[in-house]
Amino acid sequence: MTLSTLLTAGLETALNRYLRLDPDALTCIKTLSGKVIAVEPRGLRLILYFLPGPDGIQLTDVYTGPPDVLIRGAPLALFRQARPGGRTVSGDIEIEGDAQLGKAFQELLAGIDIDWEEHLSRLVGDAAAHQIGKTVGGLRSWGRTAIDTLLQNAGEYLQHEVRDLPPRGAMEAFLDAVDTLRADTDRLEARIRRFPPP
Amino acid sequence: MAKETTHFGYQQVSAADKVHKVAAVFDSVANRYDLMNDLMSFGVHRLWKRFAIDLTGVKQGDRVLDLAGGTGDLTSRLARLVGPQGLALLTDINAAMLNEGRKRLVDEGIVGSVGYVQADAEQLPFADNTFDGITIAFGLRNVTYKDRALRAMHRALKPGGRVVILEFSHPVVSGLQPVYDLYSFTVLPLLGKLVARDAASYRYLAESIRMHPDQDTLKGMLEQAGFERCEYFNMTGGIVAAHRGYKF
Repeated sequence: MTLSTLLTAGLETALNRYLRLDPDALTCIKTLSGKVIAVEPRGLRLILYFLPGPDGIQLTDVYTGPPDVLIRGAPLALFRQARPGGRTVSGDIEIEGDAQLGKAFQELLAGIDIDWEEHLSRLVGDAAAHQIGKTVGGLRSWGRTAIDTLLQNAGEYLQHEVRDLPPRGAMEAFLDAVDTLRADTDRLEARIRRFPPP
Repeated sequence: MAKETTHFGYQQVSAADKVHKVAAVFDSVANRYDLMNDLMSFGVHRLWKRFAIDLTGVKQGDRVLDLAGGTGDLTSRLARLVGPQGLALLTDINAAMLNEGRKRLVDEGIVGSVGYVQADAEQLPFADNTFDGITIAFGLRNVTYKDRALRAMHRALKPGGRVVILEFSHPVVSGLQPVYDLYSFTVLPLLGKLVARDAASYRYLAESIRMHPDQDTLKGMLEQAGFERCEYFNMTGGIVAAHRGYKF
């Protein structure tokens, strides 16, 4: 028995417990039944294969056939993409195969919305769950505002006052330009290949 | 002519009697089988089974046979791996166990790529070269003529296919044997008595494990049946081993 058997077993259990907290997510998983989705975090020498089915997701790191889609990227970028409300910066993630399936899988993970208050109410009753939910929501909102303000102030200082970092708009325009240049180069390379050999 | 005898745990019985006695054991424990497996192995049996499935190399579109599949632990995972174009066939000689397996898989929503056949592992009712993979988990120990069963598996497997046998074996870590013996002959029958209301069946389990061939002997039996590139992987100090062989 290998360490990866333990790792995938633990991950599978945790993932399915998490998914079962959102009934809509389980319904979405059924629509992906019969597909094999491979995720390769770069640099970890590991490919995780997700096999969605009617009762959740089966996870393995050993699969001998070709997957329907392979999603490859830096571990942090993959994590960012998979978390609720996740987005990714252009060029962070590569998708090979059925891109629509890859997108549906990403949307499934990012779209998980757990009604914690509902689950809590089964343990402590409606009134207490509502009160706890309100308190936690208030704290979370205060925390988010404080972090946003801190990040905004730090960003403005670094971008506009000491000018160590470029503004977001300039960076996105630069990344778009790099993407365009890469696509142009690929097209040019394809055209050159079509020339008959001398 | 003298009647052919074999072992049933530590007892010597006639070959025909063994079939009935094994059937009686599984009829008795079928409805508590999964619970007992979790209790006896502290849930580790799920990891042993995952590892065995990894060894099969099964993929979408494959046809795979799960022999002595009981309550369908392996079949449920194999069905997902073979996908809607493939087939995972759950078989067991015991109708009560097969019914438990069918009930469980249907409850889990696993339908379509799964089939059920009540079959004897020694006389498989399938054409030659039918399956891409064959698994038998904790079942070979109860088969009367293991060599016949292995030859039947070899016949039903396609060239290039793999057989994976997951079975209790013999501890290889020094110092583990006395602890394991104590656990097997005192705790297991007690658990059987308390949970499945059947101590004798779990005493048979402990005895049949001791009578089962060790890792190297079983590997030799696989080779004799015609399998090639045979190897085994010890798990939990050799308490369980997964054997794999190929048909070329």
